[in-house]
Amino acid sequence: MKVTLESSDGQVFTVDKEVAELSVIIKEMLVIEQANQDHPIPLLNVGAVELAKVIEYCEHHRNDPTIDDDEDYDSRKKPIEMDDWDKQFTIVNKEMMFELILAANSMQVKPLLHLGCRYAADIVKRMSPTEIRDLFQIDDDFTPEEQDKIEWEKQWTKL
Amino acid sequence: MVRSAIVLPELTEAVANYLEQVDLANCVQVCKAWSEVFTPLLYHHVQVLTSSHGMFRAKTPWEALQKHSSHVRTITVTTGEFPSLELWGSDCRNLTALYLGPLQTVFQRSLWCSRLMVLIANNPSIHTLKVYLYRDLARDILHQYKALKHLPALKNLLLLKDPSTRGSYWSDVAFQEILEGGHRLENLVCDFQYGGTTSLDTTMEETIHHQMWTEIKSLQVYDQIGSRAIELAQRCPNLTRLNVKLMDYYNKHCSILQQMTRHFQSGHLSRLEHLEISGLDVGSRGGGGGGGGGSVVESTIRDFLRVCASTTALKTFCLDGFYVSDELLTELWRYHAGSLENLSIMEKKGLQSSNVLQALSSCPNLRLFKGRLSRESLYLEDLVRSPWICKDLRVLHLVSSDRIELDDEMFASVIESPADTSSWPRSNIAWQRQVWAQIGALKNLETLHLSIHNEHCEIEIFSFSNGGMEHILGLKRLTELGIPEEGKESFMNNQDKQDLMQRRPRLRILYI
Repeated sequence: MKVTLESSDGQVFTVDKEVAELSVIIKEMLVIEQANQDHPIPLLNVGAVELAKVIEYCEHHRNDPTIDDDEDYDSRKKPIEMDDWDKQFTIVNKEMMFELILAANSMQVKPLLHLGCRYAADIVKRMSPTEIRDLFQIDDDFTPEEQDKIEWEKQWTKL
Repeated sequence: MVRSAIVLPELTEAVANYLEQVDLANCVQVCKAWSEVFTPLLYHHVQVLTSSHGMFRAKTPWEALQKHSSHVRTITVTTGEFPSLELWGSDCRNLTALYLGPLQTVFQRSLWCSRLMVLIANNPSIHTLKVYLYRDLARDILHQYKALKHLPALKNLLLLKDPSTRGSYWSDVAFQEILEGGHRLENLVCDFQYGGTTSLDTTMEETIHHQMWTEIKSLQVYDQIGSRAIELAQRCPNLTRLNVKLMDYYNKHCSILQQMTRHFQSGHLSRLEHLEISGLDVGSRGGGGGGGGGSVVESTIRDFLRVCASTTALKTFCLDGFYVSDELLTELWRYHAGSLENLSIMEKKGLQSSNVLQALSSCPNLRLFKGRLSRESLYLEDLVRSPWICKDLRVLHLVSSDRIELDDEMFASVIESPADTSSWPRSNIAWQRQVWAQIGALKNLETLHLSIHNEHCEIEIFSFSNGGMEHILGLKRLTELGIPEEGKESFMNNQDKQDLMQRRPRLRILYI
């Protein structure tokens, strides 16, 4: 069975139902609107470029087992595994990837969201605060005194 | 301009999971908004791992921690001195998990314990307590200081063997504390042996003796004759996971499984999905008579497999350390083949090839299969008599058993005479190709370990050059290939290896 999705800029995509259902939001919508499937499902926060990419991801992962969100008793969750395809998939510019994280978040595509978070973490890893600020174009709004204080507090992590 | 998706509150924690503390500390320094988001995460998990450089005397780091101690959720302490409440800070009241050890040494045990108890008293929200057994420390924490009584929200109690301590024992008094406080637990690991000789306190109230622990889902214990394992099994009707470690000298019966079998026969419904049994030695076979049907423990496991199947089918079955009979495996396939996802049979002597084939050709849902193959009687043709149907297999680990001294009386009865190998060189290559083709059809394979040999065969019975390259290259998800150690066996020649590394640069090749 096919379903149609409409991006925020009005482009319509037709995909298999099982592919679209990787998005928790769409899955829930399909349950509610079972009778009314002539109209495309509107995705108000997702542009056509991102939606195409999300669909590409879902097509590839359509047969994956669902991720268990069960809390482990160890506080740190096991990192997700990335296969070659995933690694290729994340080779896009950073802006695109961050847009994708937001899209995955608003559509609730859990595995893509995990992938994106890992990607974001890999970018930030081993960057100095200045480098992070440059990347995200964030202004340093700390006073020198506040910076000193944080620097002092940071000693805890060096134990 | 990059929209900083990672500061969306619902995403930061997921991102933080992949970050080290030093990275989190850098994020805190970026700007006020980031500081607000990342500061709690920076203090989420606090580890006190070393007291060697006067850490307890240095004021600064502790003052920083005290300022943020309301954010602390989990604490790990492996130091001989336990930090006092003053050092943790009075706001340290939101802990959910406490990990103690492994410990090298403990100075002043009573001070260590009493400081721990003060921290516990301030944190009734703790749901996980993991203690490595260091001498009698666990006993003291449980018995003398009655820790369980002060942990009203405790769900996971993990009492683990200390890697540096030989022989870990629990005693009656500590065990009694578990019996009294265990009804709230969901997960209990008692990773040490019972060493007491005295019996339980008979004055313990009747209600406690017969109390059912309905919450508990997962249990890991040592099993010994006359052990307390039965005591525990009796009270755990809703287990979904059971991990039994059998003791060498006492493993003729596997009393805990006997108890569970009785349990299920008397009307309790089995919810068991994961069963792991380890530590059973081949030395226990026979058990005095050793007549055809195998040992008592084997028939116990067979009964158990049959009885538990009346309400649930197993997803996990792991058995390690002893000789598995065809009868036991027949029961396993008959009742659980359809549901098994993880199967690991690492017996010492090694499985017959036909048994391995049965696993691969009758369990459609297998995701992990680890098997040790008999070195004495490996026949490739037996591995490919029918198609492998486990198309979702992610991990395949097939290795031959170690060389076994043939004069060992125990094995003499189970070892078959070597087959006539004169016809092998011709037909063997065709069988090798068939095995590779079956492996190549497991499209979801991520990890593949192969080290297959036959004791009586002079040529290499299974090598990469007979079909390996083509089928390995077809496995798009494969990230790890384990092969026999270099020089020892000629599974893969250097040329093939370099070729493969060039064509699949991301494939990790390791020696197993």
